[in-house]
Amino acid sequence: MNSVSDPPAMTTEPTGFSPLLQAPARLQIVALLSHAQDAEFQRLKDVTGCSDSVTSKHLSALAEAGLIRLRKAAQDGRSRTWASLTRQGRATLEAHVAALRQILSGGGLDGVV
Amino acid sequence: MSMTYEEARAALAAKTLAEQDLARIATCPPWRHAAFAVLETALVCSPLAPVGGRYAILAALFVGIILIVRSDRRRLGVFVNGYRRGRTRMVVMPLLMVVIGLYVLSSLAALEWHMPWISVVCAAITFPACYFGSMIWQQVFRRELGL
Repeated sequence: MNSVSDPPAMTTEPTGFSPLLQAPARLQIVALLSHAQDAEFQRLKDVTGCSDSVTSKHLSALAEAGLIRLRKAAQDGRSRTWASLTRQGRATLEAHVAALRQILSGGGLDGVV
Repeated sequence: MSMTYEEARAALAAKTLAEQDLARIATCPPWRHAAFAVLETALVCSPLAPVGGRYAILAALFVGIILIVRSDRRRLGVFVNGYRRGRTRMVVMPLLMVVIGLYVLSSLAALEWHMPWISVVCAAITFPACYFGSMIWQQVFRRELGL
């Protein structure tokens, strides 16, 4: 993050690129949730192939940024975590995917963000 | 913070893989399509029942929806709403219009015209329409997610 006195960044980030979604697992979580009403922790862990602790960290980061909502629900006597996408999360995903496509099409930046 | 062309391509490929996983996971067995069709058929049949029975059928429908959602969540660890955004709306909206039309026709036939056989015909149309509509919905969903 640049301070007010810093010179403008020399890199040209494509509009909508979200550093938070740069980790593929986070992008996968948000992408899956964009097609589902909600998904359980274990399912998200299976899809991303991450460990429990890494999945948990990704979910916490996404929830703190307001991209997803987390809730606990009891099932078979155990508390399970369910995640759902927020409106902000959907908008961020759409913008991020558009930015990735822009990178692939060679527009907006030249190899570096 | 940097992202190269290759990383962007890998990120989009990872996204596609996750979506394809979801499409595979959310593939419904025949009983699941039938359960949806039974609920819709019960709705269209409901005007045939006396007033108290109608409320009982509507309450049973409500419970049925809850049970289906719970079953999906338990089996799959995910719930995909039929009214989700995307190409599947091209299937679900016309299907909804058909069911509403059949329900209105069934109600008029049973309650105004006193021709209950029309309601029975409406119900007989509703089951296959919803069963195959649900299957088409799934095909469109799978295709949209890259399968």
